[in-house]
Amino acid sequence: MPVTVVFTGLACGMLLTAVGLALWGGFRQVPRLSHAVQAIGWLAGVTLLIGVLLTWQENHNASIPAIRLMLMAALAALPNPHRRCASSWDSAIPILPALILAGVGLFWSPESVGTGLGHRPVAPMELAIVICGGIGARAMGEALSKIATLAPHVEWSFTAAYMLLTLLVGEMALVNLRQWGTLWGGASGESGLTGAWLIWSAAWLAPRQHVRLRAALTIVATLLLIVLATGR
Amino acid sequence: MIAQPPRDPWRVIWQIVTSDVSLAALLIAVAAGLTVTVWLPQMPVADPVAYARWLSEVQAHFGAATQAMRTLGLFTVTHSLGFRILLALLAACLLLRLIESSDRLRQSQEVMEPMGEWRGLTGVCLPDVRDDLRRWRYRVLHQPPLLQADRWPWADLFPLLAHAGALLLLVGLLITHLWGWQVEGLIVQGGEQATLPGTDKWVALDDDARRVTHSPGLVTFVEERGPGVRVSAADSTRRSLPLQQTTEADPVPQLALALTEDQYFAIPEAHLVVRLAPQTGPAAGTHSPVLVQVYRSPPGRLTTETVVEGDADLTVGDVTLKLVSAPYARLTATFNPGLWPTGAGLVLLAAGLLGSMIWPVRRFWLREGTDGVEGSGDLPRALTKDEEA
Repeated sequence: MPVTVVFTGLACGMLLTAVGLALWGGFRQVPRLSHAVQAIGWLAGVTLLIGVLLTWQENHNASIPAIRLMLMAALAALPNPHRRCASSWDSAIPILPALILAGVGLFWSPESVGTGLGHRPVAPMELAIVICGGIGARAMGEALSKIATLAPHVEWSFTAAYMLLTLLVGEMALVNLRQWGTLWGGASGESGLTGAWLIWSAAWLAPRQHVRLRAALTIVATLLLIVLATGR
Repeated sequence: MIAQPPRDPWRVIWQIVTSDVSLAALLIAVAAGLTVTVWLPQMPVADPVAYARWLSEVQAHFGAATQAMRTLGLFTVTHSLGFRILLALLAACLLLRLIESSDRLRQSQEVMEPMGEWRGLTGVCLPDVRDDLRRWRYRVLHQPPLLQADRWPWADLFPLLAHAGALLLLVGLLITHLWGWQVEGLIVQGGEQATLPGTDKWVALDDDARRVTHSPGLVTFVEERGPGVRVSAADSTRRSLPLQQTTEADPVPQLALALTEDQYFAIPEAHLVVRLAPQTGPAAGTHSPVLVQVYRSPPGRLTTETVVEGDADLTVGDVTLKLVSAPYARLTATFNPGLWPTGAGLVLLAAGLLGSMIWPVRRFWLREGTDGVEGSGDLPRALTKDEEA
């Protein structure tokens, strides 16, 4: 059995347990259970990271979508220890994007897609998009939670993802200007990345009291980033 | 009944145009246009070869829907009038917001009118909090009974930078659109200087096709490098024999051939036709081997076949073929007078946005209320944590 499947499967199980515990704790009003949920989230994130490293060591091919999905899921799974949850939904929903990403990665085995891509080295820019997608998935989880609870709390993952995306788009545009003499280098993914950044900018600008609008824009931008990061 | 003062329509329009919601709506519209281009290949404008390739690809992919999609302008999104109008509206919105931001920077020197609802803050003592705020690098203004805290001037300067940068970026794009141009797929061989069509600008390549030189103001990008040859032929008396690439072409004593694909030429006086085929493989490059096949015409029979690498002399009967390696480079040459405004705009925009994220304005007001200290505006968490708990 490939190492990716083992680690992703383990992480999926942990994340499912975390969601179940969060919901059960919320319904049964067990206050200390949120610490257990966070600990399991950490463990799942670390398991996924180890899985990514081992798979990469085995294949030396980080361009396959399964590894990218695992890396994004790992970043999305690591919980924020300073976050206070208002309800069971509030603690369960942020885990969902990581669970979905890990689940898709589990069924997207490296063997099925790896052969076609070969041992192509991954450009730092592609890796940065994957990291951005992972932090974005975290922000998406928190945005989904905001939609459910309508709590207008500011989360660092939203700002961190926007900051990284701004640096990424800025760097890409400057490199294009230097190399090609134009803002666009001709790759179709560039316009998608700029589109995601513009949507994120709109979410950042949207009034704080419009919780649902901000959250919806964050979700759209993150989904676009995830699609671009997997290279679809 | 209290008579309300009439609302100034110009002020209302100004407020709508400069609002965050208007800018966000424009950004979403531009983002939608750009995102469409990820999945729908856009029609190449300048290069006819690229256009032919694009047309066959979209017809194969979208079939009968291609024409309808073309009519809807889905293949020319960024070149469409609607997209340009969006960018113009965005520029107008940014200009007005820039004016407003500079006015706000000036106005923020003094205590401003409190914004937002007042809320009670438990466990907060005004004299103590004033020292705490200064320690947290807030600027504190006191105008009894109000106390205003914010991060002026830097926090107000960053949005100004971001707006100025975005505007400069759009101006740069406009200059590029109006006076800039790009030549794609330009093939230049080693040791050759090519004048760009319709301009006085030139691009030259050194003998090894490694270094590109060009006229000032141009930016060149090498897309591909490959083998090429300079061919000449002579008879047994060392008299140069004319060469012809097509029946319509004038005979020339020397041919420069970029081996982007198989190339053919004839030596009419010697009744020979020569085929040159680049040998692709893992080590393919500027000096990769070239297959040379010489046919006698008539009857079209293969006379000689050999693989040459670098410079070579080939004798076929009385004729000596001289092949000199002249690798080629496929280039994109761009003339962009808006390069510097665009680059400066990008740097300013990124610096302004990152600064705003790291050092937000966070302006808030405190006052002594009947039940203790009250606060309004963007209150920091340190002051509201007792209420949140």
